[in-house]
Amino acid sequence: MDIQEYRRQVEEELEREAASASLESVGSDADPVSTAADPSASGERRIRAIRELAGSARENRAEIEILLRLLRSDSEPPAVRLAALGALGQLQFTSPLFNEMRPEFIDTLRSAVDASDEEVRTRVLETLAQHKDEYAQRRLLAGLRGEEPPLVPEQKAIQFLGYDIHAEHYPLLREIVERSDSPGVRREAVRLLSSDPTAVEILGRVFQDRTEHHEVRRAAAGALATLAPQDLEGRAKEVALDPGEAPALRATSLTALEHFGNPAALEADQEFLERLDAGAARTAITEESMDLGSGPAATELDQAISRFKGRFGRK
Amino acid sequence: MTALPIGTGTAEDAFAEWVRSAATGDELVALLAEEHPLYAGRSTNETTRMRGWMLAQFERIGLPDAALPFVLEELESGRDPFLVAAAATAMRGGDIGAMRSFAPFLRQAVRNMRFLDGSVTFEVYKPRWPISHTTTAAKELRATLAWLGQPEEGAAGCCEVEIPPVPRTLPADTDAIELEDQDGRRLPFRDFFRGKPAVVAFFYTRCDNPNKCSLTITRLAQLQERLSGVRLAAITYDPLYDLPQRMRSFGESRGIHFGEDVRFFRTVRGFDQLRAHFALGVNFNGAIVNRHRIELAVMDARGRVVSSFARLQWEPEAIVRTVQRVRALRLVRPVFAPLLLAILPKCPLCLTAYLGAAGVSVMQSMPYLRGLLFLFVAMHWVAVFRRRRWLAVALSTAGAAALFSPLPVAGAVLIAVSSLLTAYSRPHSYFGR
Repeated sequence: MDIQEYRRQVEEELEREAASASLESVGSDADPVSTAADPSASGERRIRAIRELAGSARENRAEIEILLRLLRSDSEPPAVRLAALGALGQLQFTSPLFNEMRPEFIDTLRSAVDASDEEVRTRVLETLAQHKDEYAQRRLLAGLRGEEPPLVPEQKAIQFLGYDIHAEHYPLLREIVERSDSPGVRREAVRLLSSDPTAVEILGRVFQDRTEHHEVRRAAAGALATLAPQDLEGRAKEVALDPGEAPALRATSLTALEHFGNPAALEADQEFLERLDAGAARTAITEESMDLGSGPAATELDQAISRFKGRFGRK
Repeated sequence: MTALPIGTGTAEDAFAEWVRSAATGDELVALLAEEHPLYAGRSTNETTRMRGWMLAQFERIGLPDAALPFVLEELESGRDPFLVAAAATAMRGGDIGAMRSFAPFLRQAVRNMRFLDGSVTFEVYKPRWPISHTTTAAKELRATLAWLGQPEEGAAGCCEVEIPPVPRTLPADTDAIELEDQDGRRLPFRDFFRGKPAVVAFFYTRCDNPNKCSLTITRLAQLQERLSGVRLAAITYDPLYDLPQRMRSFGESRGIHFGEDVRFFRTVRGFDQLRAHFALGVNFNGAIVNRHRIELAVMDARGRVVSSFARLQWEPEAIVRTVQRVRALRLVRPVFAPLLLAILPKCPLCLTAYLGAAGVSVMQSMPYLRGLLFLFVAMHWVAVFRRRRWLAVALSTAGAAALFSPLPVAGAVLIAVSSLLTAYSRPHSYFGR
């Protein structure tokens, strides 16, 4: 997740909390079932009623069915549908009735993947993806392959497929790494390729490609550490010593070596430690950091070098 | 395998149409074997759709006996609502009297699906939601129990099920197989699987069905507590991903205590030969397992598979009994084989005595004598050679040469010594705790 995405999520969360606080100040509804289902009631009242149902419907099949109906209906306002989805999400864990109603829940979610509202579609697909649902995976893959209009943005689709290693998206992910113009999309694809043992070659290539975005390369380093730690070792050493590389990437390489490398081999490789320690390398790092204005990354690199030397340097 | 109009690369829609309109029960049984090329290169979802679609047809076309293990397997271990619903449906294609004893499998499936059920349909292949006519695994399981006239509640696990043996293939060239264990040590296949009986199970750490790989390894740990003097191994289907540390962690967290005779392996060379040697019921899409069955093999000290447990969950007790049989055979063979070798005539004098006892030595000439002698000596040499006792081989060779020289008595002595060496050079004890 990049920083912009994280910031957006935090802001949304704060907005939701503020809305929730304002709803709570209004007080509880006398008949939450009728209010939740009443299209003439205000959105705020209906959402409050739905939240009440999340608590009261635990042992009431009819009330759970109302929530399913609200989620399914494309004529309901998106906020109401999202509130119903949230309430059903809670009931999954709190209602003793929910297990036997699971097929209806899945059926409702599948029926809502074509919702006209993007937020509803996204949340519904994410819920299904978390259940490793075959239908959701099929529709996501069809969107990524261009066989039908995509239901969610490419980056999201890749993230959702990542919930299931058996979703069989690996050939498509390799293709996306090669063709996508978006570093964010490529980064997500590279991350998921960390479960595909046949992707070692392409991950190695991405990691050592100086023209690639450093976030994508960092993701490739992480993926290689998972799949082929030995393969990563030589490549990571090269990158860690290269003053022309971004400090963040050099730091990632050192961290990967520290955690996934062969400790005995790293301790024995004093030449690498000496070169890491060499003034030329440090100067280059500092200069480069200044040139790029990447102070935090340079600090991260310094810390990584210091940690690495502390662990593998001759005592 | 039977020649079918369906195979590698057949489009799903064409497959679905053929299955619904033209396939016979026997053809579907052939296609249900996990190792069938039909599944090679297909996704897990695609494989699941195809198998569920085939199983569901048995209700209409009748359930052949050979299909029953596939149905019971899904009921016992399945966690996919589509496959379990299909298996429950398939059972209704069988003979009601014969199916009644399998009601516990249906109850087991009800329990398995309690938190996993979903909405499925057998009316359309690859349906697109919203759809109006759906069913669920629970509904189909209840319908089949009602059809059998059996209550929904009752005991699980009941019956001895006769599972057809795993088709034996000619042993593959295991010399081509190189393994790496959970500590990163590499060794040829034969180094672990020869010299002692062995039990080997198959698994992979990314298996997402806890009723299969995870349970297999947990039971292997139980087996470890009950067997000694036998090698225990688990070999991964996913050798590129299951690096040594992953295998170790997977085993330890399920109770395995690793040691020289208890090891997990991945193949670093010769996976195809391994697959052929054990006739593994597994298939792949790229490097990802798209379908596998539960499987375990018991091997003798010569690395030959003597018994296989496949598809249904095995009980440690059954494996213990099988291993005991292998041990018994192993104790008997070293006694009888050398005894037979020892009493075979290996020189003209012995042969004359034997023939005399049979009342034929009164014949004036025995033109077949040299031929018979040569045959016996050759049999002895081959038997000694196969046991790889090189001193005994040398003595047998020298003895054979001496027999046909002017020193036949020396030859007979050398061959007798060779027999004794072969008989008394295997001091292992295979009694368990």
